[in-house]
Amino acid sequence: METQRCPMCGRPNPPELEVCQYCQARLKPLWAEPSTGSSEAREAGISKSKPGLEPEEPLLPDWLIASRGQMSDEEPPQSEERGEDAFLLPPEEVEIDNFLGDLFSDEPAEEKEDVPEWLQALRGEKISEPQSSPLSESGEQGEPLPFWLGLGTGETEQAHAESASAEEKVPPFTESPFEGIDFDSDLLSLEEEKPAEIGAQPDIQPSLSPFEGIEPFLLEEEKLLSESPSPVEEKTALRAEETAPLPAEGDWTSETPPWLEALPGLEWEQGEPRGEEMPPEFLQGVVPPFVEADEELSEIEFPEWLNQVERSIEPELEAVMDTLTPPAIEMLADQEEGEIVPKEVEESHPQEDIPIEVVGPLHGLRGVLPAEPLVAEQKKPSKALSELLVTDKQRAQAELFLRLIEEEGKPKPIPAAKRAKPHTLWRALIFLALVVAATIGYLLAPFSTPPQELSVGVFDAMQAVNQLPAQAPVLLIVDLEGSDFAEMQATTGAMLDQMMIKGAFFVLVSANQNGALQADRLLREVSRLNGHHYQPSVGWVNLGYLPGGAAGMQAFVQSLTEVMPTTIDGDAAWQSDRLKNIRTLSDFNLVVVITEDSTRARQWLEQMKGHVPVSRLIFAVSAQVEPILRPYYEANPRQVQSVLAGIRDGAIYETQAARRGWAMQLWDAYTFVVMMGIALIFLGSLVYALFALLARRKGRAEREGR
Amino acid sequence: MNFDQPFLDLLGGALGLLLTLLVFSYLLGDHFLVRLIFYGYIGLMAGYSVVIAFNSVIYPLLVQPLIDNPVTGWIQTAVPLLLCGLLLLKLSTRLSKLGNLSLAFLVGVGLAALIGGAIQGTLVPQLSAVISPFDLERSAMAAEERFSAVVQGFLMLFGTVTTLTYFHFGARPRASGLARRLEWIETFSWIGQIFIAIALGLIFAGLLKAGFVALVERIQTMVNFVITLQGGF
Amino acid sequence: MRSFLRSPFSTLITLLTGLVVLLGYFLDIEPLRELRFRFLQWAVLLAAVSLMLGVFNLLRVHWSRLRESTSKALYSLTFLGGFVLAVLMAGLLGIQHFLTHAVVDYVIVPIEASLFVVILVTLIYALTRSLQNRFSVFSLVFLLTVLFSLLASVPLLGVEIPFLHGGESIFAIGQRVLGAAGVRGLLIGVALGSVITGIRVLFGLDRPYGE
Repeated sequence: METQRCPMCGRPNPPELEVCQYCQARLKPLWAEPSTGSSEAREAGISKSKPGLEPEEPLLPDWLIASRGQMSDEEPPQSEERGEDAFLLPPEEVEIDNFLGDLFSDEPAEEKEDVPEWLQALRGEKISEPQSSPLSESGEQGEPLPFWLGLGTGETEQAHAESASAEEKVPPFTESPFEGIDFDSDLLSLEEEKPAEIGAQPDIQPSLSPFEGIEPFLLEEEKLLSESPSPVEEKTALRAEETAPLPAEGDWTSETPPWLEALPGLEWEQGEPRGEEMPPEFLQGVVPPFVEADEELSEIEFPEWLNQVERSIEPELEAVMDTLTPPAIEMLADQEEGEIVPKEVEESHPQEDIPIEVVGPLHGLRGVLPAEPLVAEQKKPSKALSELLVTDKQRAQAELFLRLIEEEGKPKPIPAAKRAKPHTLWRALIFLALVVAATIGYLLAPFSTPPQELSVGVFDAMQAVNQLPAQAPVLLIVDLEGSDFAEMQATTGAMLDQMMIKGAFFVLVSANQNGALQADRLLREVSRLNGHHYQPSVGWVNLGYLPGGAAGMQAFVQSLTEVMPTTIDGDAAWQSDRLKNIRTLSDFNLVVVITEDSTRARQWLEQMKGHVPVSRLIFAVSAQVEPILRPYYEANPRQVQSVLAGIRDGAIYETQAARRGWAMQLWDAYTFVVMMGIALIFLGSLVYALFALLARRKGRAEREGR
Repeated sequence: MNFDQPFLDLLGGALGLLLTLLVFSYLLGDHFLVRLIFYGYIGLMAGYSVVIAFNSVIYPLLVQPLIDNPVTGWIQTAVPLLLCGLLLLKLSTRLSKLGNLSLAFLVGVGLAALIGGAIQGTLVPQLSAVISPFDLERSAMAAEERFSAVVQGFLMLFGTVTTLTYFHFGARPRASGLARRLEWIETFSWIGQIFIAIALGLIFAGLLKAGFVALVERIQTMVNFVITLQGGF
Repeated sequence: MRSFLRSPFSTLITLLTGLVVLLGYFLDIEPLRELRFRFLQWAVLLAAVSLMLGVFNLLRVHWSRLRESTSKALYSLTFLGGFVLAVLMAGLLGIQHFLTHAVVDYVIVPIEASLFVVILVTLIYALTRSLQNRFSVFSLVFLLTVLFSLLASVPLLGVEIPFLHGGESIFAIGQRVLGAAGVRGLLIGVALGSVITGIRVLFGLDRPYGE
């Protein structure tokens, strides 16, 4: 694909862009219409030194390009047939002429029809009628010429006639910009008022400033050049003096400023018809295009001294114009010595020996300091740098991400469930097996072997209960859910039974809402199963629900009578004879925490530390909580007197107490169900593990087979 | 049966059996009746919770003092009334931000209780328990038991340290760009996972045991009901 | 007023109340003890009120569903019916009334226990598939621990195996040492995490109660 290269950063850009996408520099100059073909001037001015450089996109103003084309003995195309929109024509079709050539044209002034008055005045011609500029033939009207174009025009055809060679051309903008310029009548009047000053002094007076009387803002350049003008400047000044009268004060149109004369790249050609040319870039939009006119620019007679100067300095001026470059112009502007051109420019090489710059913004100019290959050799970055360093993991993640994005919009087919899923069948099988085992175990009790060995936890609990006095107040903290009621009843049944035998008075409290209901049920069931006649308010009081989590537990531990002053039914809890002496936890003979929640068990243990003697603290917990409480139970010193865990400890307790309770009722079926569960877990794990191994082997074989 | 009213027991038993079977059917898949049962259960528990909370805490601590002695009661309950009132503003969209004050109070107190309990109830005693097997002077054990106690103490200490190491997630980026822990931490962490797997296995086994008991109890209840029905007929 | 109630003020309340309660764990000073107890008592009240608020919100949601006559209206009706029944029974008849007990015995406990059985079956199924999903050392250790714990809990076919059953069996020692070591590490880790998180919230580094 063709690309265009940015003149500033050198990077390739798509052809349709007007501004570089990297550095925002303009790629296409502000031409009116893009050029379609290539011209000789373009070829002379621009060469494709870099790939992708569009021939249709000139980097230089076409007056400069045209001048180069003329340098290679090419004639600019004729432009007589231009219409009103001649300025819109592409630059290659516009010839760039020596902008001052017409001033020194040999053609008589009468042949030029459209010379503006001010130019005529500069040339010393009579201003009889308003001059129409050559542009009027082409129809282009109305744009006032810049003021500085009238400087130093001096005499008219005499200066032109004495111009150097046929190759020189009058710069186009000396003609066309003058067209239709509405100059201040004062300028013309000044020109008229001082006709005596016309007729230049034949003597060379370098000390006389040609810009005397010119507006100060026009003389910025001149200030820098005032002290020691260069020979070229001297010649230019001489020329100005010869061809123009001494400028009166304010007569700024009389002299050609040196900077104007020193503009590079222009070839002074004379007498040849000029086509329409585009003004320099810095004038575009301000100055209309230059239309070549057949007539000589000036009908004003140039002063003799100007013609003489022109003749004398023509070769040197030509050499200077060839070698001047924008940096040199800037240097001239900065110099205080007044030398327009550094001496090395005087010693400039012949034109053919001076290399033409082929890259960058100075493309086409001669004598430019070489940018490449010494300074800024543009080259493509190495391929290694342009490649991203991507690890395999990043690549895999990127691919996954792309796949996710691609699959996002794709609807996934919903598989129709034609039959029961495997896991539903497996779960149903497991359930059936367990139910069958529980039923057989309950009905048949094939393996009725109660646990024999007394565990340490059961022994400690039995000891604590045996030490209870009769009708002792016992605090039961019951944090139960209905799902674990059966197990907790089996775990605590024997112990509660022993307490009921001793006539203990229970105070129930719960840290969860369901526990308040289950606490009542527990005592009812134990009482019923073991033949006790415990009744609410007689055998126990239920304080109800204690909210707040750990904060509520701490509040209860600190002052339980204030935190929970009434029972769940709204009766005063601590007014009874049994409880009137209770103020703190330590006033209870035994504190039993019954829970299946490991978090609540741990919180109760933490909050009660220091408020309950360890010897009076028993935890009756579910089998799932036992591993959590074991570190507290086996710590040294102990933090809890005893831990009864699960139906096994309940069965052991019942066996030791010789009281068949709920635990033993469930023990046989429980044993059978556990064995069935072990078998199911073992067989199922074996089967699925084999499936997994086979799948792995298959996958490995497939990978190796590839 | 549980109650002296046989009819109630029969009806209750039948209801319990029906509910049990319906919930068991959840194993085969979710359906309308199961969802209906769950919604009814949640409604029941919500109602009980409200009544119990009101009876246990709100009435005795907020309402009762005002009834007993309005003057001192207002003084006693001014601040909690204000806090509760601000909390109730949480129901309003516009004024809900005012309830943040009460929440802030609740959070502060609750967290302080958690922190204090964790420090004095778990951290200090458990750290002491880790090093206590090595205190041979304090532990009242016979000489032959001390060696096994020390060995067990070392195992306990090693297990505790490696378990805690597993939860160390500080890693430094390496030259390869990957963040990895130090090698010895990785090794300790791997060993700690073994101890964690054992601990979690024990807890999981306890959960299964509790479930087995629940299953046995349910089956037993249903069988008893069926037997009672057969006996009744 | 709004700025007065914004997060710095809330954070200040959290910090002050938290400090008062926390210091009470370590310092036994009478004025501090009294103030601390009042704070704890008010926290209990606030917790009960927040429970009521939660239930009220639940009622509001289901009531709106019932009014909109959506497909879930029947479920909402069931919920509201259960709620009203429980409030009437427990509120009017009392928690100790036999009807309340009957509801607990024949409705609440069967539902909860049956649900636990469903969970049990699911857990067993998940355990059997654990090796298939992830075959690693830890999965194997976990599975073997569960199996041995179950084996050690009941006599096998009516016979208690010495190295498996009993307080001094290999399994019991292993459970006492290895299991307790792991649990102790977990407990210490949980306690440390609770302390750090609590301190962060107390000092306003985290604000779970909103702005």
